[in-house]
Amino acid sequence: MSYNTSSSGNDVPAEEEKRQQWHAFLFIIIALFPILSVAIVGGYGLIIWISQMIFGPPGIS
Amino acid sequence: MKAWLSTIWQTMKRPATQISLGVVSLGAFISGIIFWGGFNTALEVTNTEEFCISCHEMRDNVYQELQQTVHWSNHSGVRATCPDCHVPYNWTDKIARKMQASKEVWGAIFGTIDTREKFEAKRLTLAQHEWARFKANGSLECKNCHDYDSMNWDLMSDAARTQMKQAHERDQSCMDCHKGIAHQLPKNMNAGAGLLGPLDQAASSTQVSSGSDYYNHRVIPVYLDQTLQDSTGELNAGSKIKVTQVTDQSYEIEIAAWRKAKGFGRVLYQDFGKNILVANLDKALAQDKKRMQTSDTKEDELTGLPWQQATVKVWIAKETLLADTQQLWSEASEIYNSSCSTCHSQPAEAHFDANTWPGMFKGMLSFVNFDNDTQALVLKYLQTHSSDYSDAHH
Repeated sequence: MSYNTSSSGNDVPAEEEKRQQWHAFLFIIIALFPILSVAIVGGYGLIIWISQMIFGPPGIS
Repeated sequence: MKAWLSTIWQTMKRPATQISLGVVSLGAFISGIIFWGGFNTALEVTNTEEFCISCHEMRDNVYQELQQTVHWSNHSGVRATCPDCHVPYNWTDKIARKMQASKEVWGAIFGTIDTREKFEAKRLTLAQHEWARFKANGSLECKNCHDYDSMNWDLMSDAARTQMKQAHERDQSCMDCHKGIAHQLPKNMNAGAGLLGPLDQAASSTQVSSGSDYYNHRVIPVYLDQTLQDSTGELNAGSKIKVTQVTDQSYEIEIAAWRKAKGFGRVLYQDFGKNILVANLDKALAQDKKRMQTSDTKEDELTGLPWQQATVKVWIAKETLLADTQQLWSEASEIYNSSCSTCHSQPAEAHFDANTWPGMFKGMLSFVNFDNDTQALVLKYLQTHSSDYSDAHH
């Protein structure tokens, strides 16, 4: 059996490690980053909106 | 769950050993493109007319009104859709507007304006939001299509050319003059909750007691007795009167003014020889020697007409008076400053004397949107602050 040891000593077999990594990869690109992007852009928009309520609508640029 | 999260986290922390660099980069690149494309497509879908009118509030109200205007149909066939004017082009402002749209989602769910009546009640507020936006950014959304530099002056009418050239020089905000270009103007735009709204509010809470002086901010009917049944004339806006009796539904007031001793004497003026209107009375009341107390006549040298002081008591409705002129004149001054400075800087109030102001004022009225009461109040303001009553004149 070929084990892989990482720096924090997580011993899993190579097949398991491969499964875990694909799993994480897909989770990141399909779920995590998209949701994070919407949240960050939305949050950014919210901040601008609040600041427009305080400082008035956007001026002449 | 916790174990799963922990595994994911542990895997994320470390370099990928079982998946090649090429696969990881390509996968990330492609999914980034797919996401960004999808995100923007979804965002742009909310920027289409179909989306906007999918809410019946928009489709049945403002969309119908748009179809009566030149922005819907014209000789060149170029038309504007909802987002062209209402969604900022600049990305940051656009995203902010999308977040602000959560308010509209709330409204759609909870029916804030889901009937015609509710919509009409809120029309002025909604319009004022947009006017404030256009005012702040100089009507940027209009200028995305309408470029001052591309305007052909020769194709305009003389009147249009004069105004538009001046606007061009100032890079003026289109909305300063062109309100109501795409949807109906609020009916009560300059009345009621419009320009005189704050004064209405103040008047409804003024404590009125007999023996003190008060001021009315609107043109109000005056009556012969406390039942307010027989209207006998009108009291002009911004007049000073003394309350002599307070009943449940009305006030008796005393108007002390001047009038010409020639003719019926129906018109009451604020001061000797001054065309500052205080009241118009019915002929019967004006000639009623018992009710009208008059003084000896004095001749106005300018016209040769005899004037006399005239005092009369009439009745008016409640909630029509203010205790002092502070708010009255400050509101009038604000209306004057904002309405009369869009095309030229407004003349100082004391630039003219009281008898010159009516002519000047009426010549300018077609450039603004004042209702009767606002006109009366602003003119009265100008006359009472004219060079006749001010030290600061030239």
